[in-house]
Amino acid sequence: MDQTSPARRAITVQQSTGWVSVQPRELWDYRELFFFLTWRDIKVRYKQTALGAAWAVLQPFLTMVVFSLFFGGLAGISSGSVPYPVFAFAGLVPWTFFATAVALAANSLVEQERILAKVYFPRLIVPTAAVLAGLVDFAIAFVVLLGMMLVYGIVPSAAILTLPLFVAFAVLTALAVSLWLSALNVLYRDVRYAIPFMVQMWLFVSPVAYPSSLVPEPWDAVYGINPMVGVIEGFRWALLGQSEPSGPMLAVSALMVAVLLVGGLLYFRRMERSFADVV
Amino acid sequence: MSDVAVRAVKLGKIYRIGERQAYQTIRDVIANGARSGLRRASQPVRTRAGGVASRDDQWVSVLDDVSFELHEGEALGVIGRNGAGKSTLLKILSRITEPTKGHATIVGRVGALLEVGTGFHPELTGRENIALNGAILGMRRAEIARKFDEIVAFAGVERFIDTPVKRYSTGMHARLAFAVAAHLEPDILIVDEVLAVGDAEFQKKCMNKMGDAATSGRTVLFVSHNLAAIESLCSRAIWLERGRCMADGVPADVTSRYLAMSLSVLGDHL
Repeated sequence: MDQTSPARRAITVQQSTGWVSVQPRELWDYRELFFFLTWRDIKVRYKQTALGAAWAVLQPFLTMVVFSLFFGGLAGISSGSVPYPVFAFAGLVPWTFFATAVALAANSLVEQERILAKVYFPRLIVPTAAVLAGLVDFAIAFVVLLGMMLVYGIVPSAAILTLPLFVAFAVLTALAVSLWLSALNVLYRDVRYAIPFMVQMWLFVSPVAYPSSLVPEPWDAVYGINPMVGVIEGFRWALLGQSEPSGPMLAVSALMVAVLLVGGLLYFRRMERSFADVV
Repeated sequence: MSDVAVRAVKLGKIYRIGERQAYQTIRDVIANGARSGLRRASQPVRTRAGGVASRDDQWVSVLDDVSFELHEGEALGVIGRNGAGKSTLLKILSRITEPTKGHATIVGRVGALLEVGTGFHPELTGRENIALNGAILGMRRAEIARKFDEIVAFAGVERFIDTPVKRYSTGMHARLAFAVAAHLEPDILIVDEVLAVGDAEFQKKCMNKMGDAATSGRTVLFVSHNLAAIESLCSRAIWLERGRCMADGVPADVTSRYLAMSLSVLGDHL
């Protein structure tokens, strides 16, 4: 092996204090492990299930049916010019991705305590792989969403060009929340019990069953503090091309994700050193 | 002399013991925060266990002031009684946990085998687990692909390679796990005694592989209770006792001093 190869670097182990950097170079060195862990999470996902990947569609689809019946039908919530079922499903697809990714990633470190205690690698890989593995479910549900748009004859506008941006927005939001929760979960097992409740509450404060236009003008920016507001409204607009989300709301959501993500990375890196001792 | 591969300087590690060692819940943090606030007002405070709480009686030093230098190609055996700090030393050198004192410099790719089969997933097939476990141990994808057939043959699980490992017998599982570990070729190999499991034949295979690693110019750190193995495989040995380094030198000398001490301790008990 030559002297310049990354593996040949001299490494110093000592007690780290305070905040530590993310070390992107080291993450890059471990890209293959990252790939394998993501692949494993995808592979293991529906092992020994009868319905398999159909679960990726069933959950948002059945929720959409219930929402259409009660919120769209009985409660008469307006979904603008788009039929309510498509409106709800377009919100449920990014929402379901977020909810499952966070639930899996938040428990990822605790569930893999054996690996943490026996092998070194940048721990950031674990929750990140869990979040990215959720993209497979997302892709399957997305195809169903396209099918529904076809059935209802909805043609996307030029706004669809921004779709990759909002998908990335969804991934970053899930990652930001997961970094905090997975690291906290190692120290405080309360997190495990709090997550189902938190996700449920979060659904109600996100514009999945109702449009964010229900929130009156000066308050929509405040509503954007929930980053899933920006994600869902942006995703829906990019696909269905109606009710463009307000600029301030999107900006607040994006800012929130940036703050959560940077804070999450720093917190995770700070706690990482004690994971093997505490988990 | 060849280059230094591992340099440990005054390595130390203290752990916190007591009721809050393992997990804490948010309630505990709040309660303890409130308690320490009260403590300033009225002392002494009783813990839940009934003892008097104190700030520094709950620390235990598992590694204390351990220094050594290991040159490229040397094979170092680490001996000592249970709880002497051997595994902690390996964990620090393989970067799983941080020391609380001192530092160590490591030059080269480290492969740590503190356990075989780390990261094996029961639902995945033998083939899939080889890839996954190899990656976890630090092998490159190309390297795993190249050694794949060799690993399967070594484990003797050809017929079951596409069966989920949850259907494997314990022995098959152990053989496959060991086969992957045995094909790891880092610059510095760190091995804990947990490898010495399984039947006599399996152990022999394990020792042969260790011997190969030690003679092929690789730097090896090897923890074991098997003193004969240390003497035959290692070019040097250190003896740890309650976290401190008691002896460092030729394996035969170090093991005999260790044995003499163990016997005298035994004598005191009789």
